[in-house]
Amino acid sequence: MTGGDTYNVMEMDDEFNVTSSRRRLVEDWPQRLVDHQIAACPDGTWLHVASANVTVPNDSAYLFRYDADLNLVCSATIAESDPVLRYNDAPLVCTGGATADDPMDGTATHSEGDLERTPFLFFDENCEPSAQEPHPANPSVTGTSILWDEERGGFWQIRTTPDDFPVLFQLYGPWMEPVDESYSVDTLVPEGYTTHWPQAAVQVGDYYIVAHLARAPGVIYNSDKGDLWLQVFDRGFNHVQAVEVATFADGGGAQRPWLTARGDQLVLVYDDDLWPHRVDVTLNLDLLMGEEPDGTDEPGLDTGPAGGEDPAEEEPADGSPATPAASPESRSEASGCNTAGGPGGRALAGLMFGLMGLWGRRRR
Amino acid sequence: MPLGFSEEENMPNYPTIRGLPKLSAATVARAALILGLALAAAPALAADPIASVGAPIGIRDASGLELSGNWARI
Repeated sequence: MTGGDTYNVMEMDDEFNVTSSRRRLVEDWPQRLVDHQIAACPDGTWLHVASANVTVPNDSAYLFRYDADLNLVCSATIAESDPVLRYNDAPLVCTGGATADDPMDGTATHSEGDLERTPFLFFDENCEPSAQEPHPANPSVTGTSILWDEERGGFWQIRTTPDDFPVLFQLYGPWMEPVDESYSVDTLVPEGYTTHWPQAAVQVGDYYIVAHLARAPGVIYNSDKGDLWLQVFDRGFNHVQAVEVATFADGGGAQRPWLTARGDQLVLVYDDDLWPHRVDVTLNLDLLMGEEPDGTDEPGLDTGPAGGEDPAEEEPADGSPATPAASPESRSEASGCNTAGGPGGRALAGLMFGLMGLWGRRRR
Repeated sequence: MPLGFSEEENMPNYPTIRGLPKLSAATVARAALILGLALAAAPALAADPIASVGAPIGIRDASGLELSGNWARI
């Protein structure tokens, strides 16, 4: 493929064979796009944010919304030549107005300075900015995950802390306002390792699955690389399982992990330098869903906030304020099998594979 | 008799092992039920949420050429 100032998409079949030539998501954009994030919306449409280097690296950002077939619907300039904020590696979430209080879709910025808070930006369905909320800048927002929790009516941000090994789950309200509820959960990486870059997270039934990197002590890594890990947490924020997926030597490593769930299949994607790789993971869906499948549907195929499912058709929550310690049965009924934050929607027809240009390396 | 068997021939004929007591049909059924329930419950209780992890695979385009690029998403 050629480098370029765009994000390409290629269709894949059920077996993840590429079946089409690549197509640019954005044609003839005036700025060269650098860093990307894309999220599936509940109605099957897509949200995309990309940074650009106008004056200094990643000082500019643009928002794009696509229909279900990834045709551009609208776009907006978030910022250009921002003197303070940086827009690379921004977590992005598309809730699409899942609740009455939901301010639609949002993305986070970050600063390379010493700001205590940086804006979390919201946009409506027409790409118009609708709100912004000051967001804690520490721990770093870059390379993190944000999941919409329909039961709680808020967002979980999944971060790691420097020089430590837990994963931090921090709850925010529907306008990304801080809520005094967080959980720091050990990850069982080897002693001395630090967890890093928890950029991919999906909710499957009663569990969260997080993909992250881990960095060995005493090793100097190039950029944001690291060994590749999967962690499973239950919705009470207890650690359940740790899997070391891939290790690398001499400071090499995986970058930019991503997860998509489909039935009992979890697809983990990362790139090793500029070479994308896929890891097929099989889930114990009976355990994750907390119930035996009845054979009449395919749990996990239809997803929640990211799944292309009509929210109006979802089972309603039981009405009681859910807590992390709520019973698995109640959570299962309310949440179904969500892959919030992941592009798992539209099941087989919507498998896409996006590649950024060769030159579009992340800049810090 | 519609099937050509006498009532005597239709009587169950449980196998016996010399020296062991003969088990009733109800006992055998109960044992089978308990064993079945145990086998059905065991995999879900014993297994981890992540059942298996494959090896990393490079992604190729339709012509078989290995793709390059970053920020890959599926």
